[in-house]
Amino acid sequence: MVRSDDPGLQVERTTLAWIRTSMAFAVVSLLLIRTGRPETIVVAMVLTLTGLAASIGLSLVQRARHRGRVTDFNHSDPVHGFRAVGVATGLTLLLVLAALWCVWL
Amino acid sequence: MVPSWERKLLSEGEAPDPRFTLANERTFLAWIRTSLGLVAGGIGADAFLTDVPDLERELLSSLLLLMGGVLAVAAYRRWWAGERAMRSNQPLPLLGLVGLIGYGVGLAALVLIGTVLLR
Repeated sequence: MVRSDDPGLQVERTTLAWIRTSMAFAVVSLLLIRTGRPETIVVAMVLTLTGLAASIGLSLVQRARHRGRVTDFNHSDPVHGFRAVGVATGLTLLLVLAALWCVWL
Repeated sequence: MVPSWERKLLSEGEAPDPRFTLANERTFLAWIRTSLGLVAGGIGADAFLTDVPDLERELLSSLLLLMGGVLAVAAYRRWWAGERAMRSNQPLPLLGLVGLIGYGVGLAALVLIGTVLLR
């Protein structure tokens, strides 16, 4: 069993922040359905399901790497995983584009 | 395996205390959630202001959505700048967009209130 040597539980709080962000992403993705006009509802639903899948994937990835980050932290190793930051930014921008598409078409 | 771009970032300066890296990441996530809030507002404006003329509703919605997009990019730049500053023991840069986003959200709220009251 991996124990955390961090009295401030920094890694745990960061993982929770990722999961909260994923949940927010899922909720906003669900809202996309409300923008669907009769002629675009199918696309809106596909975009919503894609957003939900992305948010689930993001949560699972963060949950999976939590243990490794705790180990890195215990050894005072640098914390890696910067790619996730880029992915989160990219997903948010894709959501913005999807919403703009739904609003204007 | 550390990606090449990450190795390039890590080759400059010294790795900061992991606590600071994690705090920087959490700050980035807080900004992303703020961005998602604006996106939710944009979608909500389009979905629920059904009595407002189409063009006005779409413009208001687009403004909120674009602000959300700008904020997401700003959050990424802020995170990147913070990471680099910490590695070279430089002061953390200020995020110039804070004021713009604050005034932007305030303006959007006023427009929304006006739209609801005048419809």
